[in-house]
Amino acid sequence: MNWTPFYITFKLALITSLVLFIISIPLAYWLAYSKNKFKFIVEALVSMPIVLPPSVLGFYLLIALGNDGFIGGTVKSIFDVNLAFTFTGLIIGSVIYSLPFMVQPIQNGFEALPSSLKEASYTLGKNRWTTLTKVLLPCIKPALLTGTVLSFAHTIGEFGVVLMIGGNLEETRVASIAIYDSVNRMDYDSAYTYSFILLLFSFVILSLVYLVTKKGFNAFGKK
Amino acid sequence: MIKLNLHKTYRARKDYVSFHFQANLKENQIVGIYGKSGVGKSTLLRMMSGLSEPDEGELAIGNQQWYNSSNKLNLKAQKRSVGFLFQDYALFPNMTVRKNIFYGVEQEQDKSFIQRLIKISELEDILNKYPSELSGGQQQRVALVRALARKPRILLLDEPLSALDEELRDKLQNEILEVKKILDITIIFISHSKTEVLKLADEILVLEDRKVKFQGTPLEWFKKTSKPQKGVIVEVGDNNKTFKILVNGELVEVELPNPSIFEK
Amino acid sequence: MPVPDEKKFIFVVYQLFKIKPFVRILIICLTFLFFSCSEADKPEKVTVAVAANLQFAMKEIALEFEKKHHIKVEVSSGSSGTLTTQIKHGAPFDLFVSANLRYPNKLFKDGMASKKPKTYAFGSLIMWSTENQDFTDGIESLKSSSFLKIAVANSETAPYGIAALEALETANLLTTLDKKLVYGESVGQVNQYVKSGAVDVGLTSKSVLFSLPESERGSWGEIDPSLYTPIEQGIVMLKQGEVNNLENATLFYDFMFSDQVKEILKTYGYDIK
Repeated sequence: MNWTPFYITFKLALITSLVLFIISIPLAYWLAYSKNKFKFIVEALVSMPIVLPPSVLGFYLLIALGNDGFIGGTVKSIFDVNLAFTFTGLIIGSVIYSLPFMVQPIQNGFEALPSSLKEASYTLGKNRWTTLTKVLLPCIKPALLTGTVLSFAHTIGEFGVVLMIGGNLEETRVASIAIYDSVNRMDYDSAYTYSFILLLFSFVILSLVYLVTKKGFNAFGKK
Repeated sequence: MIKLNLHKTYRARKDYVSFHFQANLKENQIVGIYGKSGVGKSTLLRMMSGLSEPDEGELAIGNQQWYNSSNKLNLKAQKRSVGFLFQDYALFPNMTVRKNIFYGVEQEQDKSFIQRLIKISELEDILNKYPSELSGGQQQRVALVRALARKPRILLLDEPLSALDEELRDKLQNEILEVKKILDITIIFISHSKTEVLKLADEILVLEDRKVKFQGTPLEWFKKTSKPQKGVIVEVGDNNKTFKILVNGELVEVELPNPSIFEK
Repeated sequence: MPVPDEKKFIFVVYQLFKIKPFVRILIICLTFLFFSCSEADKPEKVTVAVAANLQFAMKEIALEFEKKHHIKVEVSSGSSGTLTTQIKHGAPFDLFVSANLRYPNKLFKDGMASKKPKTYAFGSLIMWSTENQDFTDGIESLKSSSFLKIAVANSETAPYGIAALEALETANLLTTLDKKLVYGESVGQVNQYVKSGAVDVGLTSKSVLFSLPESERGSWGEIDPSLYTPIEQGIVMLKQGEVNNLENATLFYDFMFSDQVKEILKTYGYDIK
């Protein structure tokens, strides 16, 4: 039994979740509190990965990340680094693929807070950064957890996007691809094992989340 | 002297709603803002604190300019010396009472008077509790002390008494008066209760039609606007000038310059 | 005194992760990450893109190569067309072992290989079923009512698919059987359909028979080679292999033409001319 696909899957999900956590907080904050007229455009863009077929997303990403691509070409010329068919490319793809699963719970978390909370902080002399870190974020811990777990679990299950931009290389063979690969090679033993472990893992993670967020768990953090 | 002359226009569905408030207030007194719902009491308070931005006008506290549309000056709420007591108290649920109170306090600040306030508000025993463990009255007192901890020049209270039962209301009213005794501070509170403004306010701003209709002592206003009503004197104070009168089911405490205004 | 932003940020992250069990898990994860990252000093290896039909034989070939040269062989298999697209988009393979010559030639023309592709074997097309079926009539057997679904590889991406359709066309069966056809992405998928019973029969590479123990081979029938253009399978060394891994790639390339490999291929049903 080759365990590498699980290492790769886990590594991908972990790094993706970490990156998403860092970039989603400012984005969710802006979406929750900005009164910009064109906010709806950004909201739609953020939600697209939920609706788009993964192969469409994967296809466009492949074009963008390839060596002639908009992103890939630039990176190649500056850093001499390939993006398509590499683990780094997978991270970029996964971050986009799982973005709404981190942003939306956090945005809902912020929106559920009474506005008087941050206003009180302002009248007590604290700037927006301190208010965010000392008041707002601590108060939305369940939403932060929800977002992290959802994007982590979502990345674990990724298939279409990874297949497109990562192919079936040793470096990019995540568990879901490994299952597909095993089936194509008629290696059903591996397929059964990989599938069962993934199923078990997803079940355990979700059970833990239900256990920890005692108030119940609704897909995007709304109560 | 607090100079204010503030305009604000909201879009409400297809209409525009315009507020214009102009008044000059003396500092270091208790001012009540009195008026019906929707007349703009909260709006005025929020503009004074810097939480809402007016469309046009001027706001100056003494020789400090806080807002001036012609200079494009708008001092952020953080920089204004205000304490704000919110209607929902807005206590930080992730912090203890102590942490809440000292949240806005800088290291170098004098903290002795805060201890006095904590004592007056009877909060010494609950300093390590979280807001969720407190009763409504306790929460409000914590919010009050927190708002005062930075020794602001102005304390703004957004309908502080409306949600309280009578006993707590009395308590809080007395607390506000106590606070006024130990701090040099202007206290501005919103109310739609005659009793409250009569008891607490040195001066009131009466808002009507989204404007300041009247500025003066509460008594002047009620003399102007109230029809004479029959009441029963329940209690007479020691100096024969303070009366507790039951009028229309409301217990009013009044200090009279001339007792003959009321019929027995 | 204002705190610099980096300190603030670390403080924030620390604050948020004050939940102790989380910190423990995080530390475990990060250590784990560290270790799996630092196997960056990889042993000598060669990466090969392999057409789906060859994956069974390639398992053995790779094993022999590793034994002989102590160089790891990393195999990625798929339909030749899909692999070609990936290579065009920069997939980092050293060599491409295709199921035809057309795809490697395309890559050669596009400058992704500096030497012309060379044929290493000829493939055979068969009909294959896991049940006991009658194939005595050759390709005409497919007309039988016992075959409700027939799997073939997608002719857009798989040379064996092209051959399958060509054979059906030449035998004048394409229009009759068209409705029974089910398309798999590669012969690998065709095999999977047959094995799982999703289809009654599949047109696939002969090599599949030798990947299974005799008891599981089911029944099969050869398709008359005159019905389709010979499946000339070509191998080409890619630019990436030349530039980054010339020594190992050349070793493997030469190995593919060795007598040892020729024997292996023959046992898997390929023709070496």
